[in-house]
Amino acid sequence: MTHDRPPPVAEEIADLPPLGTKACEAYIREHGDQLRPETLVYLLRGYSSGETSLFPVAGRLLIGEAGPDNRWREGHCEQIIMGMARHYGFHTDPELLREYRAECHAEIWRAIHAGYEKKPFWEHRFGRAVKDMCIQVARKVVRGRKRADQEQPLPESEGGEELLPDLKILEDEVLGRIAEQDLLRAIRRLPERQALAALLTWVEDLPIEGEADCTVSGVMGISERGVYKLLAKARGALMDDPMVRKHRGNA
Amino acid sequence: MISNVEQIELQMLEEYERSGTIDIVEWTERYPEHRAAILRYWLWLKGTPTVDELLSDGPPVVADEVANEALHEATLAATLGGAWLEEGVAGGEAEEDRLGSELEALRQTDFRQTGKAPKTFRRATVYTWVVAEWQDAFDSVTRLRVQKATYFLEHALDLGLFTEHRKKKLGPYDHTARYRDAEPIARKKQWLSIKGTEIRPGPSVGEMTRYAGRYLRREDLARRVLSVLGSLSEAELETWSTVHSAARALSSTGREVTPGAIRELLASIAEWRDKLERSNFSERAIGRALSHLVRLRLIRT
Repeated sequence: MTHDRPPPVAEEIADLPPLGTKACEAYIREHGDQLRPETLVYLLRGYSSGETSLFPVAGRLLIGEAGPDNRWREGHCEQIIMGMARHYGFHTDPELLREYRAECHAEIWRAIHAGYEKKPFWEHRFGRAVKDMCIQVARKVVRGRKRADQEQPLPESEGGEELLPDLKILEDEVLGRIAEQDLLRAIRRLPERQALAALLTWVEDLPIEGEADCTVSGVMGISERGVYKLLAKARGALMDDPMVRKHRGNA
Repeated sequence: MISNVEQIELQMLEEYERSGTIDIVEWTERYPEHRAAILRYWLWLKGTPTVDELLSDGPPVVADEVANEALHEATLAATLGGAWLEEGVAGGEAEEDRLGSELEALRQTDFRQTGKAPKTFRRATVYTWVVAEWQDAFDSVTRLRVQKATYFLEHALDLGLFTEHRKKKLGPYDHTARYRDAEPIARKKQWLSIKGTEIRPGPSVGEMTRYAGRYLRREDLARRVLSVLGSLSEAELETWSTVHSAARALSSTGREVTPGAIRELLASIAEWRDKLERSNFSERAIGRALSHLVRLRLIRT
């Protein structure tokens, strides 16, 4: 992977008047809405360590703003953030969505502040840098919520052991009915190693065992027995997932 | 400079954006030492829309106070400087995750301390290195901090040096380092100056630096481990090291590692029973320590 700015970005930056000059200020005010997001990041990094008066101007160009109808206009990141939030299912919970967006925006500014040396990708492929950041934040948000849930005491059972259906039936019928996106959402809520085993078995459809390395056990670097144990726990946990329960009801 | 794991993740993203998928088997074969990080990233990358697809959707309908607040804070920080823009919680956790992945990969490779220097000398060198590394962060480093640092460096990097910790009041404790080798040797060589529980670099501490790198196996990773530990209070260091030791004991008997199980185990150990009355060993505090240790791949739950 190259560590140089792509030529169009490098050329656009080279065409800028020197940072901190009146010429540069005039250039940004006149042409800012046409600048690439990578160039805006370059400018923001320059402005955060010296002349700061244009920082909010360049910042607004980068993130955009809501119009009178709350429809987002301009900017280069909100569509990616909201699109990823919808993909992960965060949009159904206003509080979770707010938490996710707040953390994403905070991370954008942290990455800009970190500078080119530590975070060069933000000046190479801004959209992909934002998407990568959205992935990292999603993991953190879901893990944080899982930990909070685990601190709640589990409800006492109301008497009588529930007879669990044959777990193989769950795998064959229920999992087969769940759309991949919904299944992925449920799997992402599992403890990590269970999630990885479930991903490779039920989404990637890898065989659990076999001669070749392209098996779940080979890819995870654990024994076949280890995989079966993880999958057994994953099945048990998925039984309680609201998404899977919805489909179990139709079994 | 970005870490190896971060580079691999970005390469995976690039390939996914180009072709809409990746061959996870091929990626784990290409970088087997980072398979866990690769699988974790794939779990969250799989099925996501590409950036082009996301940008081709219509503009979202969403209020802008979240974005405005963040821009406002960033502008203040640019003007005034501010801790707000230092690595945030997400950055800290992501760094722990990446560090843990790299440590795990390192431990999967063979290593043996080689050369003629006796183990006692190497222990003194690493012990001194910890103090030297921390001299900017702390006026003086307490023995407790150094003890916990060498405990974790051993478990993080498999150095084969600090393997004799016993259960004492403040957690795992290396009696030999204090009385027999590391401290006495370092003091005699004037690498360290020790008064009571406070340890400072001595006048000849510079001599140690030419040896430390080879005994630490990966000095850069060791430094990052110290960076994590350096942000903890002494109470937290005691919690982390005790929890780590207890978690290993539980795992070795096939028991599940949970905060409740750790408290049960502590209750059964005479030297550690009293810890349960302190706030840094509440179930919540133990849970927090476990989260960090799992991210750092120092224990598995």
